[in-house]
Amino acid sequence: MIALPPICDRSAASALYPEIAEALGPSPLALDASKVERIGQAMLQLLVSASRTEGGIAIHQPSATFTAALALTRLDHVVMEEVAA
Amino acid sequence: MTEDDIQQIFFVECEEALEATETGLAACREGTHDGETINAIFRAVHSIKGGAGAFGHTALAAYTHGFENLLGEIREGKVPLEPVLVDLLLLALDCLRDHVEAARGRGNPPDDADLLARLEAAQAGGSGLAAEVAAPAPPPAPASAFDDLDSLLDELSAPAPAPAPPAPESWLVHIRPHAGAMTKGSEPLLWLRELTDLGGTCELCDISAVPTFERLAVEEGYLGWTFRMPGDVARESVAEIFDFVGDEVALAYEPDAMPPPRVAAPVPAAAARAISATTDVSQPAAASVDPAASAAAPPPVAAATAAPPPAGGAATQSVRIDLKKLDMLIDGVGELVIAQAMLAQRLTNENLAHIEELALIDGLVRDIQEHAMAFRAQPISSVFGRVPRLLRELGTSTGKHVKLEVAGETTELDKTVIERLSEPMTHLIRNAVDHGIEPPEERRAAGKDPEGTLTLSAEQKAGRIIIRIADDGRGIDRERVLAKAIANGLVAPEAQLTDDDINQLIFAPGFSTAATVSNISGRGVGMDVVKQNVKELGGRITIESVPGKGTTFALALPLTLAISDGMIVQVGDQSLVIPLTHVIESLRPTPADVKGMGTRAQMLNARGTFVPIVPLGVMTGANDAVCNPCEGVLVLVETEGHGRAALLVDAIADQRQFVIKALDAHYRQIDSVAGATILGNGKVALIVDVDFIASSAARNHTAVPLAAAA
Repeated sequence: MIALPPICDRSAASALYPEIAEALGPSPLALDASKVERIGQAMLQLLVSASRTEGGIAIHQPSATFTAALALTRLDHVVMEEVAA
Repeated sequence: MTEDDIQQIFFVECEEALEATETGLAACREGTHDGETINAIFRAVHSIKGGAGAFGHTALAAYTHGFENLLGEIREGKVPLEPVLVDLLLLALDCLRDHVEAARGRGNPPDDADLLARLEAAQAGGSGLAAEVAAPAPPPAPASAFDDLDSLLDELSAPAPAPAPPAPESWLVHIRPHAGAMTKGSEPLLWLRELTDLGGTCELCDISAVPTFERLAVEEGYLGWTFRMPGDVARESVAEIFDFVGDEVALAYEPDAMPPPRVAAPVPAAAARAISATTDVSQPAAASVDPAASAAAPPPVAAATAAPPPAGGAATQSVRIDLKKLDMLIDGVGELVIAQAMLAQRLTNENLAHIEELALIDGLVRDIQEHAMAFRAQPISSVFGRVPRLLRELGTSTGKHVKLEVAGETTELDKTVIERLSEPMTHLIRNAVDHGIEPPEERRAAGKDPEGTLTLSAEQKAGRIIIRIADDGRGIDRERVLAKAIANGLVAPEAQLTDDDINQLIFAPGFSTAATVSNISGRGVGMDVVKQNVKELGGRITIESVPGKGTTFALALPLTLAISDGMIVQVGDQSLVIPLTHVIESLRPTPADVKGMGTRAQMLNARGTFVPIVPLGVMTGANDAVCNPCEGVLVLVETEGHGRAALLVDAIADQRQFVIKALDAHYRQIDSVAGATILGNGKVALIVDVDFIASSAARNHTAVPLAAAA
């Protein structure tokens, strides 16, 4: 499982990109979003892209901020199609 | 540049915007405003709002929004600008200042619910402005500032006076941030949040442009959004959110039917078209039902093409420089001045003093020095600009309303001086209002305007900056000050003191704390601190006070703390520097010009006035100094407050720039010596403290009538 950092800004997205690229495979990649306190467009579109690549992603334990950001941007159905408990 | 750096710039701009607002409102108060004044105020508040939104300072953004709404109405002439409204705007400005401070992390955001309600009431009530009476009770403990905004918006959108017109049609806005929108410290999601706060809802997010992961570039912007805005939200309100973003985001408004580029996926495009089509149908219908509603909505084309109001104002270009770098430059220039003096000395020894190149270097060094100093110079308006608020606060706490008159606010001073000036100034002004200016009843009884006047002025005089803080209050009651000083043991009961000596007593440490400030008519609190502050700046403070008429404090401060022009004189085996700013002329007197007075003192008859002669040789203890004025040279100097004196020296050696090195940093403070400098020959020369010498000369002579000397 890859954990998203508390501040998911552009530099966090850049830092996380190679790790996710490496880990994406045929089965959904588990991402822990419990620590997210702030999230920006860069990270969101990274998640959108990841969710549409190979097996996609599965978000675990999304924080309130994370869920709110997805609701605000109407990306909830795209990114959190497979929300794990 | 990190987001923090950019934010710091925002705060600096906030300061500037607050100053501009203060200036503008001051003009409104005096009635010297025009349309552009209101525009400038609007722009200033607006630019704070834009930055606040971009950096996520929600409380600040919400407050500026309320403030700006009212300003917008005033700008459009819907609300007349009456004096009582200006007062409200000034209050709003103070609150804005507190909000900015809170955003900087200095303190908590102020409770603005009541003020926002009053701003809104002023906006709705126009000239009625019974806000103070009719102000709605503040909403019960809002959870966050945005709740305030929401309720405000709800109230705004609520049908107020007339029967409810049908709600205008909602409309769509398409947003597509480009790559740059995420790189310059801004964050598109914050804009979306602002749209939501305006009442908008996200209709859809266009993800069609997002590539697969291996082709993804993190810096690129791939997402686009369509927001549905309520019909009562003006297009300008939405455009304002993006004012600061510039070209980094593509915007399009429906029904312009021009979605931003790259919305290509069939589903969202179709959806957009469908929405577009439905509104196209309903739009004329709405217009036919209620023409007023559609008239109120801004014409779409104009709104889409109209440029947002300029955020900055005047187009002066500037660069922000770290102060440390600037100081390094100034230090370097100081050393350059010394090196140049050394070079000149060496060339003089080789009989090459008058070569053209040396004069050229001399001029260039002087230019560089002046420019370098100008970097540090700031107009004193930055200190004066804080005074109106101080007066308002004092007015609230003391019940004395004081008019402010300001002159010479463009006078420039060294940054260090400016920074350290604000504390003593605040103290003096507080004192002037607290103790100097009488309560309105007392003023009326004395036949004065019930509103007191505080006059601040700044001017450059004799190489110094003179700042005057004058009130038209009751003046210093010298008898009581003297009585208190004697009671406190500061002065011997039999001492004979001049008026000025008594005035100076209020600066004595311990005087104020021991006095019962409330019933002494003189001033009191912390004046010794003021004097200390001014002295540390190399300045002096004098008091002029006329009972019943008022008191003036005059602060004489050095222009700069580093480099000055001076006359290098020879006194026996010593070289001394006399600051050129004091020098009026130099002359060799004839015996008839010099009159003896008493056993040792001598006076110079300088065109009919007698000036004490001060032999510098005696003061410095130099060997072989000239004692007879007719054999040496007299340098006539003038001071602020102590009149003139004629300094007796052997000869004038040179006139040049010198770098002031503080003596107390290397040795200790000595009266009559203002500092030291390094001469071209590498030797140290002392700088004469002309003020001190002239004052001591005056003390020794003024008791004797001049007629006795003649």
